[in-house]
Amino acid sequence: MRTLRFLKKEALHLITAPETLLLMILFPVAITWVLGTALSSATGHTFDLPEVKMPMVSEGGMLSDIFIANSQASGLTFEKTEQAEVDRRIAAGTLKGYVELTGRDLILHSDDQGSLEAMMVKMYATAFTKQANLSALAIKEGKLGQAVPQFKSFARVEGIDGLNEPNSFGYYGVTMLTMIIMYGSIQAMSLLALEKNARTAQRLKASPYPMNRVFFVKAATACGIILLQALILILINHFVYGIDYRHIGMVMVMLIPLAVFVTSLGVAAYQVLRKAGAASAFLNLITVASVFMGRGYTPMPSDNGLFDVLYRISPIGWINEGLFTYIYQGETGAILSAGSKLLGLGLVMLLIAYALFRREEGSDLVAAD
Amino acid sequence: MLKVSKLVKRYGENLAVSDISFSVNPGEIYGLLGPNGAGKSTTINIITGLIKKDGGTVTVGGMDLDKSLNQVKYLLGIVPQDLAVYNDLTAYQNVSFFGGLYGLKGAALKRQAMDTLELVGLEDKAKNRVKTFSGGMKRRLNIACGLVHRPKMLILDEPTVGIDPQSRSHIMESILKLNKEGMTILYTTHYMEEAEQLCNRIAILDMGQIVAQGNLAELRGLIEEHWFINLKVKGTPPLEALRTVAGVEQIDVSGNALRFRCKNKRTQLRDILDVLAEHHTEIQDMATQEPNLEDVFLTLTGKRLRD
Repeated sequence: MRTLRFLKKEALHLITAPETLLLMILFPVAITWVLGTALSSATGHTFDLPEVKMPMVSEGGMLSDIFIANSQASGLTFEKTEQAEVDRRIAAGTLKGYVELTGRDLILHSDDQGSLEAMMVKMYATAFTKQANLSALAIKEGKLGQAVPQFKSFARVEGIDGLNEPNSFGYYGVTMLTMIIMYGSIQAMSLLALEKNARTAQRLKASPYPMNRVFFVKAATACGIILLQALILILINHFVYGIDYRHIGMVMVMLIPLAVFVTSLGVAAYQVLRKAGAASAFLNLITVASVFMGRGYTPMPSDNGLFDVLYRISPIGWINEGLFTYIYQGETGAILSAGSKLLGLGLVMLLIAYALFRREEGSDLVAAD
Repeated sequence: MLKVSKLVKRYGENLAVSDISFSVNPGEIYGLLGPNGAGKSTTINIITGLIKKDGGTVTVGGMDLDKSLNQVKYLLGIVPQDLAVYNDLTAYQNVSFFGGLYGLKGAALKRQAMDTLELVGLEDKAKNRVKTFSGGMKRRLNIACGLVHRPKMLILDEPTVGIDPQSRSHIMESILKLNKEGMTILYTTHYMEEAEQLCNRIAILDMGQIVAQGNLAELRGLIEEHWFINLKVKGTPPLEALRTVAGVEQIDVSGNALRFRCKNKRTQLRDILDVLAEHHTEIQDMATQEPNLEDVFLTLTGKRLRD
């Protein structure tokens, strides 16, 4: 009961701090949007095409219906429109292009034939006409069943190695998440420093509540709050930006070793440096370095030896690699490897921090502070 | 309730507490009076288990501190010299948290927390964050956090440092009220007036040692042959001539106020007035005084309490 009460008190400290909401949740949400939108070409594998809506003038019939129906899988929308309406909009200057489908002709009328929209429509229309011609030839020769293979109705996009890759939002949905978790080390450090700053360490030590439990309660609370913040961020990313995490529950489980690692890093930094300001500066530096090395800010060229080495030694690199591999390829090998490394390092740092804490508890430092 | 015997604490070469012995009876207010650095806080920190002693024994409620530290902690309540409260939590959250550390829970904790806030006059501020409090209010909350679990003995380490007179008065009233209800109190201060007003018995500390202890009458009796004359004069007093008056041991000058420490005979007043009349010095105010604790400390150590 006392421990539950202690946990509640620790959680209150973090939750009521303005920086918890601003820095740990709103900031990464905003930065994911900024980077996801602004650097959408940086991922190099896919980029976001504009939505194309274009009027279509036709004599009606099955061909135009098939043309319109098949276009939607390509991200194009054609709306049946009367010629008079098209002429009126052209005269008003509100229409830049339209498609005309006659008995034997498919014509793209466009003011800007070099635009991306016009190119997309032209590519689709060309593919459509070729397919239609193939079908007509097969019917003419009475070999329809052999002429047209049964493909899927859409073309699938993959990376060059045949594996799924994230788009820009997907990329930053992972890297900003792990970056913010990494900043949680400062939260963990601040919880431990709190008793010294508030001069309440004396009260705690003078009370019958065991000091070793104080240490673990603080570490556990920090870890829990970091994971809660991560969950909130994931839910916002998923429901607002549509970022796919494959299975949110599994991702949360996979983030536990990272949360343990950053908590341990934070408490160890404080116990070693003994000053909150120095520990905070150190943790800021480590976080920025780890995120950069782990390709958190931007994807790095994979053929650069130095960046490769940095990526492989960065804890953020491990977890990012593991998450990408799980989310986009369904493989768990990398995440398990990352998890065990992070957990191992985290436990070592936690033990060091605990040993220093116990040594201090047995000394006169608490009263002297 | 508390027995301290031959307590010793060293910090390197420095002997912070040297062979201190005293005892506090149940239901009394016992004062540790001394200037900064006398060893008061070190003594308190040893009794509350914050620091280890290098010698001597401490027993609280019949239990040896070394053998039963955890049980002793339940008997004690501490009000540290520095404010030890969480500024980002409310007054109620602070008090209930610290009460919870001593095993209080549920309705009993809630009731005791509110009762304690009422005792220190903060019941209206229970839901307010501590960072909005004045210094005096924080001091009162500091006391409440040490009281909430209703300890057998409350230890207050200079609880009125740096606060306004109204808050000080309120705190002292609260302490007297608690003592009337049976609480044993160990009170450290370097304010003589507080010790005189509150404490049943006092130990005077200087440089890690007890130089005298007893009730107020006993302590005054240590220098009972002394008495004091306070004069306010106009112009420059004839100090050389005044120093020749038989029985005047010391003259403290503060602006136009003179304080004479006199010994034995009670004829010094007449002799001093004669000297002033010879030098045509006008007297604006005059009073005689029995020795107070400041005088006791000065006589025994040669220093002032607030040097």
